[in-house]
Amino acid sequence: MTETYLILAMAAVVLAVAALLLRKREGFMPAVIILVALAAPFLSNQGFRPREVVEGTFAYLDVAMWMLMGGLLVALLYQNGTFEYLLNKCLNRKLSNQLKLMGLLFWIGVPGMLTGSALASAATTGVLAARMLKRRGLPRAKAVEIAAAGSFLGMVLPPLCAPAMLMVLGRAGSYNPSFEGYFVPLLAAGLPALIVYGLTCGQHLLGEMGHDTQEAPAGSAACLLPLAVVFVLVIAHNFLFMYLPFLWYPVIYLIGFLLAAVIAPRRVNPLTAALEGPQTVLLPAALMFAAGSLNEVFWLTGVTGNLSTIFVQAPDLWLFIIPVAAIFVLARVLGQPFGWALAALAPTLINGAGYQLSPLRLMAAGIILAAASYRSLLGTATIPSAIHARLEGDEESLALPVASCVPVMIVVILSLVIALVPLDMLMI
Amino acid sequence: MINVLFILYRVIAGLLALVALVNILRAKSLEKALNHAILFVPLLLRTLLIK
Repeated sequence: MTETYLILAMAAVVLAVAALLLRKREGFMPAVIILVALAAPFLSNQGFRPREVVEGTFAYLDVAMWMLMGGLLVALLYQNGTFEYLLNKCLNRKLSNQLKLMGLLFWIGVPGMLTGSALASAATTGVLAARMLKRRGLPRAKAVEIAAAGSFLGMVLPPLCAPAMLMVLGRAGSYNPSFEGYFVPLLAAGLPALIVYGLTCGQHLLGEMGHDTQEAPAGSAACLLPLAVVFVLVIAHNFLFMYLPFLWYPVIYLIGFLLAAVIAPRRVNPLTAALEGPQTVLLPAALMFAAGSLNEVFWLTGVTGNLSTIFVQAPDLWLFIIPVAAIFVLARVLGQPFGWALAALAPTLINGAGYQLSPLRLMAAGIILAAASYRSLLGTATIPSAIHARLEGDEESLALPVASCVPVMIVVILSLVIALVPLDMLMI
Repeated sequence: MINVLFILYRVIAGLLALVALVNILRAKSLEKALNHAILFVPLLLRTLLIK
């Protein structure tokens, strides 16, 4: 038992030192978490464990491949002008501001849905939409607020949600369960937030929007075909798997990528998109591998087992509430990567509440970890700041109103409901 | 069908490993190179079916 405390203490010390040294450089955090996975057992006299560090990453390899292929598709659709065409169409339609905001949030969120990462939306459709809204006369803060909300909701909406995948797959170490059956629960957590935010804030956010002075980009509705095929195949993958051949997400995205290379509003080199695609999901995918390494080290040094023994008789509600609260506070105060580091341990603790209860609770814990990425007190990699940094013009820091957190709050509340009320029937 | 998907799985893993390798060599900052390297190792091991 002493070794367990020693390893945990060493991991906390190395992470805390890294937190102080790399406060503004969160890109180094995956490497730091891997360093923690190597250093903590070594400093606790449990040996040097490179094998566990390498093996741990395989728990997340398949879903990381989903994300990376999604990144390739998103980069191509961004570069070939499909997203620009879609967002322009959405903004130019004669709709009420509420419906327009809902449509805008949905299309901004598409890269997040396909990759499970808000950064993929923030770097592509988020910045694109913010620029378009600014050109139509919206203040920078409102443009960033809409783009950030769309990026966040895209991450939560199905089929993929990287933080939820991190938690769900982390419960069994390298014997990873699949991330299947979470389409409807993710939809139940994300869609009401999109609708409520659109209805309540549509007029306030888009009320003063004017017309774009720039010419609309060329393109026809045909460019939507790759995206439409991907959507149909994803729906079939999730709901018609009894009748259709099982197509794996990367294969679906590969089909979309090949179609997008042929049918596009403007010609681009698909190889450029293929090389730049992984950049949009680089940090979450690397963090996932790093958390997997740390998770495996905790498993094979007995830390996880010892903690499970300690908490075996703890009430299952506390085994959900306390780790989730710790993840939220840590991610919110120190930054997202620190929450992800704790996620190397949290799934097992939450799973300790009983396997039957855990799938939706783990998904909810992941969504709450995602919600912590919306704002951060000390960390830098928040969704609004990622969009703000990519926008041209004013360099001063951006203050968003509390109302901008409405979708995040709704998502958190719904996640808690899904986790605490037995809603297993949502898992198809 | 399963065999075809397995071949595709290895092809996609290999493609992603190759992309990660090129990105390591092209990376303009150490943090990006490190993150691509973290992705590259398991992708390569899976492509070669070592793990």
